[in-house]
Amino acid sequence: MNALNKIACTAGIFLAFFLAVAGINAQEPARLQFEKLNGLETKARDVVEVNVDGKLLELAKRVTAKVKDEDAKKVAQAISGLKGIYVRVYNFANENEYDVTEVDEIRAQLKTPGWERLANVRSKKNNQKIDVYTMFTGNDMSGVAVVISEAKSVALVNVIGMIDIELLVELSGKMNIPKIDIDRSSEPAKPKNDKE
Amino acid sequence: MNEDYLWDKNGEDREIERIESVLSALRYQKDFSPVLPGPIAIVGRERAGRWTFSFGFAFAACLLMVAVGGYWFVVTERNALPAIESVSIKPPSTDVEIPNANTSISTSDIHSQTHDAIEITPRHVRTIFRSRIPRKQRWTLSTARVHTQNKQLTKEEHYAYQQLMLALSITGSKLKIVRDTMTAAED
Repeated sequence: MNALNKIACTAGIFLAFFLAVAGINAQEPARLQFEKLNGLETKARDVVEVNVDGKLLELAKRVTAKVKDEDAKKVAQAISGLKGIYVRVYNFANENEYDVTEVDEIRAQLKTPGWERLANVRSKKNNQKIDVYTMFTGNDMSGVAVVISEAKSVALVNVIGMIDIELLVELSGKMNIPKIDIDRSSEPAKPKNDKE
Repeated sequence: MNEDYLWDKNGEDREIERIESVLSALRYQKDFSPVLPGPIAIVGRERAGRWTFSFGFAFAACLLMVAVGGYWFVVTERNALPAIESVSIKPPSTDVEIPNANTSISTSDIHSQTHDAIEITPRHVRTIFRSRIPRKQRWTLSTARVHTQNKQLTKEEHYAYQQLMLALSITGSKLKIVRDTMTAAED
């Protein structure tokens, strides 16, 4: 009897754990798996890794709401529906130093159902590839993914939840959102490409 | 001298009688209990002295308090920083560079950059009892700004805010690149 009880308890715990994990994954379908980018990390000269979600994000939202400024209010408004933001930037010393297939794995994740391609740019100059994807749940945007790969850099942005992109771009350089010009070496614009 | 008079008052002795009459005031009296007036007079004097001293001390204390309070009022009013009602942020003048080596951007880097960018719009409100910032830090507005900002935010809040702003800044810059590229392609 005791043995049966133990087995039942163990099974219950495993089931609860499985359901919890499944629930978490189900809650964030727009979350990309960046764990597969270890190869890029080891080869990169500079790495930027930022993860803001959960309690950290709630805390940051509260702080943003505290700051009494028009731009801060706009930021607070822009991120009110935000659930998480994950950023990876890899800069390499030499051109084509990284394995392209690793970035393609991330792009493959964006081909799963739910993601819709918003923009796609391919440029032979500087070997630039830009992908912007969005995910919608009903009428609400539940995720954004930006993948920018160039000859000497890779940048990945994954936003979970709703975010006002236009407002964010507008506020870049204001607040204490510094203009981080990570891609200074690359010259933007003038791609001679097929835009899909 | 008649000695009988001395022993049992028999007979007459004028000289002794005269001395007796002179010293009669000091004669022992049965019903009289002597009371010394000295201590009573001393107690009365002491009480009066205490009253005078307390009043004087209280008056002096009041004067001292008024003087100190007045000085503090004047000094504090002159040097008081206005209450921080709003915080406006300026864009930093220079771009942020990613540090070398395979490291993530440290919070301290962002911390210092952010402090450069924050500027307080002062509101002219008399704040006598609120100002606790040392005078040294009041001279440079930027120092005071940072101090106040740190005072308001806890370490965790500051870290969370910096992380969020860094993430938003990178996201914003990347989206801007996308937009510029798209615009150029359209043109």
